[in-house]
This record gives sequence, structure tokens and C-alpha cells, in this order.
Amino acid sequence: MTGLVLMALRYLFLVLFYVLIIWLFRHLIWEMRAVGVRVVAGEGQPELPAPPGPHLVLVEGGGCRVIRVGAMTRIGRGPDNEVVLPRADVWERHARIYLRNGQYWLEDLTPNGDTRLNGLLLDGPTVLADGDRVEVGGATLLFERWPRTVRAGTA
Amino acid sequence: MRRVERVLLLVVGVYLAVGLAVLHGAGFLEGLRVPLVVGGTTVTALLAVHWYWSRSDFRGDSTLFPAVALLAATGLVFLLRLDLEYGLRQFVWLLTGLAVLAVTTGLLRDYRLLAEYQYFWAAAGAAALLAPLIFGQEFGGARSWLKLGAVQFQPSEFAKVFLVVFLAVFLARATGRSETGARLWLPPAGLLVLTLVVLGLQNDIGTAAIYFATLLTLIYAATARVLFVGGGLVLLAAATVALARVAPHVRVRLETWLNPWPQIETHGYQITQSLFAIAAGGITGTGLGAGHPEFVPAAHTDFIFAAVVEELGFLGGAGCILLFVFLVYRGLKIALESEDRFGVLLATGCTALLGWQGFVIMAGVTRLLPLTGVTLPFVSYGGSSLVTSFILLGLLLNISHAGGGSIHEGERREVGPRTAGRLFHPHRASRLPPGGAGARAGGAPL
Repeated sequence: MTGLVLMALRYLFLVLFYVLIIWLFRHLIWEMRAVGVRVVAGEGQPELPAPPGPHLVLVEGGGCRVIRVGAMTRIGRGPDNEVVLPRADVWERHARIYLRNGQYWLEDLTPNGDTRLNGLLLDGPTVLADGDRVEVGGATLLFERWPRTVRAGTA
Repeated sequence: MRRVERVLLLVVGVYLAVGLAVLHGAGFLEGLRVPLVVGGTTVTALLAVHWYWSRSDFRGDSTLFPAVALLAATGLVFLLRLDLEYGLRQFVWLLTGLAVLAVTTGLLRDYRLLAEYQYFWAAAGAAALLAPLIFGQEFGGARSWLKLGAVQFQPSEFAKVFLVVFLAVFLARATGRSETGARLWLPPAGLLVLTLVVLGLQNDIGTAAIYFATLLTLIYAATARVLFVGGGLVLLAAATVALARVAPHVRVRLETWLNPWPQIETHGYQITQSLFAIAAGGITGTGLGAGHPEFVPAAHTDFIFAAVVEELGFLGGAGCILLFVFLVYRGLKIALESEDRFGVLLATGCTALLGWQGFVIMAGVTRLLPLTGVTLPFVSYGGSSLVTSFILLGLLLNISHAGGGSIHEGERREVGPRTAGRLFHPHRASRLPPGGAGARAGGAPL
């Protein structure tokens, strides 16, 4: 009887060893996938894989949306924009981001110039750099030029 | 915060308890006092470190410590099984190591402080290396021990930390100023030659090999030039051949590595016993306490891996290797995530030391490489080695803390205007746009 118990405990020892190792590696994989939610993990939000190309991250009340940026990305309240922001403080056609000579430019389209880049009011079309913060009315968009693979799981 | 760490540590506690129960059942631990005291205190100490980190808002990686705790628990169980006295001493050293870990993550949480005292570390490292040559005593063929009262220790273990810190500071500054040529490679090369000569005189080839590999790793991390690594490897091969001609000690090692069987009764005894033990293990091992690792000389220190493989089998051995792979992966990830050059190099250095040491001894015990006597970090018996390994772990965790730490389940981090850019790309400040500079004043590095 004690022999059986001992044998069971011996196997349990090895099993627990592996339970921990598998757990550690699972956590590692989980963390790799969690890249992107890191930024703003809202309740019940699916984990967002970072798109490979340039994109905008819309940060809004504990949630986030990732929007791809193409050759021309219009931002505004109207439905014909690529990025639709249904807010009172956003103009019908507020701003646009376009690709020229391999660089993304941000241009303000509002009459009174209500677009900010990293906190400063825009003064004519401006080149966007990776990680720039674009404020359109009261909405904030983060511009990311490169995929976040290198900095996976960090912050 | 740190929920994953707490849960994992509790499972490590259960693992340790099962191990102690097996030892008790198999008659290695008489009475209930020893297993209860050892198990209870160890788990309490592990949780105390965890509790301290949670309380002090420590953001260091939350899976490294459980992985290390698993290795340390395995080591403790095997030492209690091999020799009760060694096991109890290891238990005390483990508690010391955990205290040192807590102190390291407390006092040195801002590891950049270390960069202030560049030459102090070089001097301390050199002193720690030279001391045993003058005051030391020989033990097990290696003259690298110092006796202080009742405690014997190996200063060359601590010298590792000092020298890695020095090299990280030096290389971070030198490559930061884009120095090349003699001013870049002369100090590390000089240090390396000194280290190798001293360790050669002490007959401590294993430690010398680890220093060498770590230095090459660091130089590669700092300069990204394969030339240095290639040159270093050529140098190593040349040195080995030359040493084998001059030093009979080294030649014997090489011969017993290539073919231990003719000398099975003499120089090859240890390695062949180790191979027998490993073969006896099979897939799942003989079971804890049911094998005969006591036939392997030095099974409690250098050859503990053979004991683990005999009793836990291929699975146990592969598990140990996986844990070291995990440590190295996390360590290099911490290095990549670090935001300053010194952090990158220090994390690489600490990881390289632990990783190479594990590799050198596991490869030596299984006859993949010539056998060199070093300890298996966190597992083998040895106070100096255990405490040093915990210091290295502490430094790694501090760098991880500065880099933002690991993600915790259900964690929410708001993207504030001050951190927004930095969250993704710390190095973007260097890319200035060709036009519209006026509007970009706010794009300064955060």
C-alpha cells in the first residue's frame, strides 16, 4: 500500500514539474499574443493583433480601435471618411493623412485649424513620425508606422 | 498585480511538498520535523519575496522568479535526498539567496546606479579573483576557495558579477561614443587575459570558459560584429590546443572526453558513472529516491544534473534544459526591452553568465563537451554559486522593472499623452522629418 502511494507521489512529482514548465511557456505565448491589448485593455475587448503596416490607434474611453492607413485616409464625422468619428467636436471633413514620397503627411482640413500633432496646432501639412499623437477635435489617434513586433509585450 | 507569480509560486510549494513527502516515504528523512520545517520555511520565504515585490510596486518580470524557484526546489529536494547535511546547508543558503534577491531588488532597483562606479567593479572583480591565489586553499583540484571562519566560499563566483557589471558599463560607454580600434577592445581583452591567466593558475577551467563565452556574447551584443566572435573562437581553439600540450591536467580532460572508457577506473570514472546514471533513468526515471546517484562522485555539486536525469529520467533532464531555455529567453527579452545601452548589456551579461554556466555543466555531464567543474545555477549545492545566481536574477528583474515589466492579466494601462509615444517606440526621437519642423516641437523625446 505505501509502495503504491510512494509510486503515485513519484509520478505526481514529475507531473507537477511539467505542469509548471508548461504553465511558464503558456504564459510566455499568452504574453506574445497580448501585444496590442497592452495599450488599452478594455473590458471584454478582443485582443487586437497589430497590423503589419502603418496604422492609427484610436484611444477612447478604455477601449481602442486599430485602423489601417492607406495612401489616403480621411478623418471626420461624415460617412465618406475612412476614419469616421461620430463626435460633436469633429468636423464633417476634419483632416487627412496621405502618402507622398514614402512618407505620411497629416493635413488639417478644418476652417479654424482644430487638429493637433503631439499637442501643437498644425501649421500646414506635416510629416508623421512613428508614435505621433494626432488629436482631431477631442479624439486622439496614435500613428504607428511600423509593426510592434520588436517591442512585443512591452510597455 | 503579480497574480501569475503568486499562483506559480504556490504550485512550486506543492511540488516541493510532494518531493519532501516522497523522500519521507522512501526513508531519506527521518521524522516529520525536517520536511515540515524545510518545506514550510522555503515556501514562506518564496512568498515573502513575492509579497515584498507586490507591496513595493515592483514591475519586474513575473515568471522568471517562479522558474528559478522551481529549479531551486528541485535542487533542494535532490540535495536532501543525496546527503541530508548538504541539503540542510543548501536550505540555509537558499534562504540567504532569497534575502539577497530581495535586497538586490530593493537597493539596486535603479540599476543605473551601478554605472557610476565603473572602475570599482573592475578592481573588486580583480581582487575577488586574486584573493584565493594568495590566501586560498585547494579543494577538488581547483585552488579557488577562501575560508572565512566556518564558511568556505569561492570568490571567483562573485567576481563574475563584478566583471559583468564592469564590462557592461565599459562597453555601453565605449560604443556610445562610437569608439573603435584599440580603445574599444583593449580593456576587455586585457581583462580577459588577466582572468584567464588567474583562473588557469587556479585550475578552474570551467569558470574560465564561462567568462570567455560571456565576454564574447557581450562584445557581440555591443558591437554586432561577428568578427570578434569568430576571432574569439579561433583564439579559444588555439588556446585549448596549446594548453593540452603544456598542461597535463587539460590533456587528460580532453582525452577522457573523447574516450573515457579505457580510463574507466581512473580519470574517466566520474564521467562514465554519470553516463551510467543517465542511462539508468530511461524516459521517466527510476523515481525520486529510487536510483543510485550516490555512485556518481560529486553528485551534489557539478553532477547534480546526472542525479536528476537518473531519478526523473529523460523528462526531468529535458525539463531542466527547458527551464534554462526559458531563463535565457526571458533574459534576452528583458535586454531587448531595456531602454538604455547599459541596461541592454547588463541584462545580456547576466543572462549569458547563467545560460552559459548551465550549458557548460549540462553538456559536460552528458559528455557533449569536455567536462569542466562548475555548478548548475540554482540547482547544485554551493552557497557562493547560489547567492551569485540570485544576485544575477535580481539585476535582471531590476532591468525588467525599469523597462516596464511584464503584462499582468486583466491589467489596464491608460495611454496618457506623456507616455503615448514611448509605449511603442523608445528610439523614435532620432527620426526627424524633413519638413514642417515648426509643428513638431512637441515631438521631442519624452
